[in-house]
Parts: sequence; C-alpha cells; structure tokens
Amino acid sequence: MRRARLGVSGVLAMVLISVMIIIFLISYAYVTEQSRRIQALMEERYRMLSESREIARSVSSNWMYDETARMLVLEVTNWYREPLVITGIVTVDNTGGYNVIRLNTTITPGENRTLQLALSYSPKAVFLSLAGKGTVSTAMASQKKTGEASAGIKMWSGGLLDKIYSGYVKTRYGYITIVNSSQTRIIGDLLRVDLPGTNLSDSDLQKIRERDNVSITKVISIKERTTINMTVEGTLNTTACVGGVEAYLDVSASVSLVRGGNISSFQLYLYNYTTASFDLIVSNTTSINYTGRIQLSNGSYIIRLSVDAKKNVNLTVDVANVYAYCRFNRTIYEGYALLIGDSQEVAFYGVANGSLGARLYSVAFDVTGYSLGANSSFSLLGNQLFHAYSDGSDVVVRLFDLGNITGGWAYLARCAGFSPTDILAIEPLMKDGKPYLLVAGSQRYCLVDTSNTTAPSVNSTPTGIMIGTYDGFLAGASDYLRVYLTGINISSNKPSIFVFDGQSFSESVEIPVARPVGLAISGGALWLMGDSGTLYMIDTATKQVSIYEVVPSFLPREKGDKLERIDNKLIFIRGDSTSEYWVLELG
Amino acid sequence: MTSRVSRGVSELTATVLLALIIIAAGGLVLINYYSSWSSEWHLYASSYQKALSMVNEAVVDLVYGYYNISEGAIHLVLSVGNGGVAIDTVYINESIYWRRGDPGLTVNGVQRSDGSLPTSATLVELVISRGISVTPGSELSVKIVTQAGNTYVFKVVARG
Repeated sequence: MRRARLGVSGVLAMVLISVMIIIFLISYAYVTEQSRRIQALMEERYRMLSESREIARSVSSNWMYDETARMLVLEVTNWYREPLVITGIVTVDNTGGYNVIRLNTTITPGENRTLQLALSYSPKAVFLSLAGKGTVSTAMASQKKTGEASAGIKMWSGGLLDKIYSGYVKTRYGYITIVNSSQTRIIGDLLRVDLPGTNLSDSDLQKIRERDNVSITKVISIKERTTINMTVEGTLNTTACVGGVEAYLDVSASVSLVRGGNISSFQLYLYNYTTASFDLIVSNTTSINYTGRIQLSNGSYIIRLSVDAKKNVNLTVDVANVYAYCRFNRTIYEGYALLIGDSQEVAFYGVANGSLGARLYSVAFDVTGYSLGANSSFSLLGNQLFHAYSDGSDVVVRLFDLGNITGGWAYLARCAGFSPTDILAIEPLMKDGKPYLLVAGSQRYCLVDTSNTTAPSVNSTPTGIMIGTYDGFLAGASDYLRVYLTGINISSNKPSIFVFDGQSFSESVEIPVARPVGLAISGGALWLMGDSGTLYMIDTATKQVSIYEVVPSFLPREKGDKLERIDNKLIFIRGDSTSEYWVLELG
Repeated sequence: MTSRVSRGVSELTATVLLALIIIAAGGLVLINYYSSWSSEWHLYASSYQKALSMVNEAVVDLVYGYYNISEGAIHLVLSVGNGGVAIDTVYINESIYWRRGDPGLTVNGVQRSDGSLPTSATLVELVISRGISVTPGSELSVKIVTQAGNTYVFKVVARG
C-alpha cells in the first residue's frame, strides 16, 4: 500500500511537472514569436519611412512659369527604382498663400515628364506630393530660369572659349545702384551703421566705439588673509549690429595696500558666455594692463578682478576702451551685384528678387593663360575688385577700383612661394577693423592687406590641412569675420570645411561631400553642394549637417560652378558652356 | 482482521490525501503561472495588433503648412498614402490643439470631426480652426497622432 501511495504520488507529480514544462515552453515560444513579429513590423515601418526620404532624393524637378500663357511648366524625372505617382502640387504665392492642384500622374523609373498646368500667378515655390507603393514623399522643385543674363553670358564668351569657367561674388556689403541708365555707382564698405540709403561716402565707414573714461576705485576691507572678487559689467549698444559684432577690450587695473599687510596674487578674469564661467586672462601682483580681443556674443562683458591679500587693499579698475566692429547686413539698396567671370573678363549683373538682371558692367582681366576655378580667382570687397593668379612661382594680387573704371588694374601684392599648380581661393576678411584678402592654395596661404603693397608673409597651412581636393575641387565663402574653405583633413583623409578667423586655421566640420562645387554662407548657415547635386546646410554654431532633398536636374556639376545665397534664395551658376543659372527658393 | 482493514483504510486515505495535496499544490502553481503569463500574452497580443495597425496605416507627409493668425486656423496640406489614416490628436507645441470628436476640422473643405482622411493616395488639405496665442513669424511644432498610434512631427510658421 505504501508502495502504491508512493507510485500514485510520483505519477501525479511527474504529470504536473510535465504539464508545467509544456505550458512554459508553449508560452515562451509564443512570446518569442510575438516579439519577433512585432520587431519585424517595426522594421517594416522604419523601412517605409526611410523609403520616403529615398523617394524625395530620387526625384529631380524644376519649374518655370510662362507669363504669357499663364502656365506652370513642371519637369519631373523619376530616378527611383519603382513607378511613382504625382498625387498633387502645391504652389505658394508671394504672400504665403497656396493653391492645391490634385493630380494622379504616374511616372515610370527613368522617365522624364513635363507637366503644363494653368496657374494665374508666378509662384514663389512649388512642392510636389509623391506616392510610391507603400509610402508618400514630398519634394520641393527648384526654379529654372533662362533669361537675359544667361544669354548675355553666352554672348560674352562668344565662342572664343571652349569652356567657360565662371565665378562670382555677391557684394552683400558692396551694393550697386544704377543712378541712371548710363552710369553705375558702386558703394561698399564693411563697417556700416544704420545710415540713410543715399549720400553714402567713405566717411561713413564707422566703428562703434565706447570710450567711457570712467574708472572705478574701491577700498576693500580685509582683516585676515582672504580672496576678494570685484566684478565690473558693461554692455555695448550693438542693436544695429545685425550682422554680428567683434569686440576688443582694453583693461587696466591696479591694487595697492592701504595700510600694512601684503598682496599674494592679483588676477583678471573675463566671463566666457559659452562655458558660463570666468576665464583667467592674466595674473600679477600689483597691476594689470591688458589689451585683448574678446568675442561679444550678446554685446555684454563681465570682468572679474580677484585679489588674494592680507589687510585692506585699494582696488582700481578702468575699462579704458571697448571697441566694437559692427557688421551691418540690412539691405539698403534694391539690387545686388554678381560677378560672372570667364577666363578673360568679369561681368557685373544686377540682381533683384534673386534673379539676374541686365549686365551692368565688365572688367577684363588682361592676362591670358589662366583659368578661374584653377590657378586664377577673384573677389569683390567694397568697391574694389581683386584678382589673384599664379605667375609660375608667386601669386600676384591686383586690384581694380570700380569707382574709377578707366584706371585699369593696379598691382597690390605678391605672395611668394606658391606652387604654380596650386588651385587658388581669394576671399575677403575683416581683421582689426581693416579689410584683408585671404589668398589660399593647397598648403599655403597669405593675408593681403588691401590698403598697402607691403609683401605679405606666406604661411603654411597647419599640419593636416589641405585647401581644395586632390583633383582640384575648391569652394569658399566668407562672412567677413571668417573665411570658410573646403579641403581635405590629411590626418583622416576626409573632406572638411576649414575656417580661417584672421589668426589661424581650424577645422570646422567634416563634410559628406568629396567634391564640393559650391559653398555659400548666410546668417550662421553654410550651404554646400557636392557634385552629386545633394544640398547640405551646416549650422556653423552647432556644426550640425542637414540634408535638403533638392537635387538640380542637370549634369555635370563641376569645378567652376558657384553657389550663392541671396535673401531667401540660393543661386547656382553652372561653370560649363551651358550658361545656365538656377534659383532655389528656400521658403 | 479489523486492524488490517482499518490500517488499509487509513493507508488509502493517506494516499488519496497526498494525491489531493499534490494536485492542489500543482494546480495552484499552474494557476499562478497561467495568470502571470496570460497578462503578458495579452500585452504581446495587443502590442502586435497595434504594430500591425501602425504598419498597415497609410504614411503621411507634410507638403506645405502654416498657422494663419488672423483666421485662427492651422492649414496643413498633407500627402497621404494608400490605406487611409484617421487623426486622433493634433498637438501644437506639445499642447493639445484638436482631439477626435472636436469640431473645427475640415478635410478638403468638409467638416470631419472623426478625423478620418481619404483612403487612396492623394493630397489632402486640412484646416483646423482654433485660435491660439502665437506671434507672427514664430515656428510651431505640430504633432499629429493617428488612431493607429503613428506620430508625425512637422514645423510650421505662424503668419498673418
């Protein structure tokens, strides 16, 4: 009986354990399978969303508006692997209002389709709505223009050149106004406060200067040895400096004992707004004279004097001078100027609302055998046109005073020791309140003072920095405080943008573009286009790189192409013989 | 004889009792195990169903949009894929702006308080009227949460 009891118990226990194991295995398998299926569904969702971006990048589109026929002509090419349906178009007018045009047009892979749609106004921007098999996408069409300027360039080359190398510089600070149909007045400077839009002259070059001539003296009572801080704060009126401010600060400070005791140390600190802490500037025992340069991001400065002393001290501080160089980038005049150059001449075009107007002016280089975008480059600063070219051993920099168009070219400076094969960049820059030109090529650079002909020193770029690519692609931009140049970080062998701040080069950001064909800067954003046509926006403060899903539908994109930002538009000028320029509305 | 019988009865009783104790204990363990796993199964099942409905729902992308201050309405032109979408909630700057059942939502000019959008791939013009305090030129973060659980975040500018 005892055996029977044990047997029954054992059988029951085994049955129960078996049931539990079976239930556990079933439930485990169920949960694992459900997790896998959920994971697969999430991956499918992610794939669909990724596909949306891929579709946007794979469709190139541009539009033109036919004023006569009141038709919007839209050209769409499908480079995606599957057919796409254009489900509609949204056109935006100048006031920001919009029209929705619903479509159901299928374009097969590789197909180029032109759509003509009735529209009563010339749009400011055109957006496409696209649908693939499982996802949708949105693309912004670029505006394609052909006009008088394009025809002018073509005529300008006149068939004398087998290839046009074009370049241009926007005169953001050097405006062109047409006084009458036969006369061009050019006014330019970099340091301009808010002035009326007429009667500007060279005397209008101004810097905001604050000279308070007020010193602060304070007797500080100390009994035992201790450290005492004294803080002086000041604010510049920089409300007119919408383009940024660069400041210089002169501080003198002294400390003396009132009666007995001793001073162990005496320090001057400046508040660093970026790190939110005080940076030590100089340490001394009795007095400090400091003339330095600080960047005032918000027009304010905070100075801290710190004295480690025993017994009472007499502390004096004088913020003797605060100089602020103010960049002003408000549009005073109606037009801008672009320079369109080929290997022989530079032509000026008026620009209004992001469109090239009539050709206003031209200057011949008067040297032959050089190619812009290779061993020759030019830049506009104020009312002076600068041209740099390599004569085989040195880089020669010349200037042409556009205020005296009959004066011809004048020699400015020679940067010795450049290689004749160096590709050249020449970009304007303000340093110590004076206009300079940065001339850079491969692994050398020189800073040319535009106001004298003293031979500038030629420096090597820091180890690891090469300006331009090995196959000769170079794009540059300047906001007048810093020059941005594309190149190669030799250490990592990766394409990068390098920044020259008037003192030294540093790497700004690694870029996903092996062959840059255009670089423009505006309002803290760099716009970069590679030969693949992808457009990138780089935040110069955060160094974040964003992709704009807009690819111009022409090929090739090559050396000599240029990109420029004007107002809310990007203008891309082709460097080849097509004489085309493309305008992209940024919205 | 009597003692044998009584011993046999008590042995049988003990065996039955032991069997009942094992069954009861095992049953309790199984019930406890089942109840804990059943809730997890349910969770997985509902998660799967939600993921399935999220995948099956059409994709939405913003083509153009802005907040019209004078109208007190947000305008959104959306590209909607095949399969249909129903909007559950619209947030502006993380605050609820519209919820399913609320008035004020028009789809292609037609009032639609259930938030449902067309089921075939098309362009949809969405206008939701509800005045909020914004300054001209400010950038607004618009978040659309669909009934299937998908979330889309867009940036629009306040104008007018």
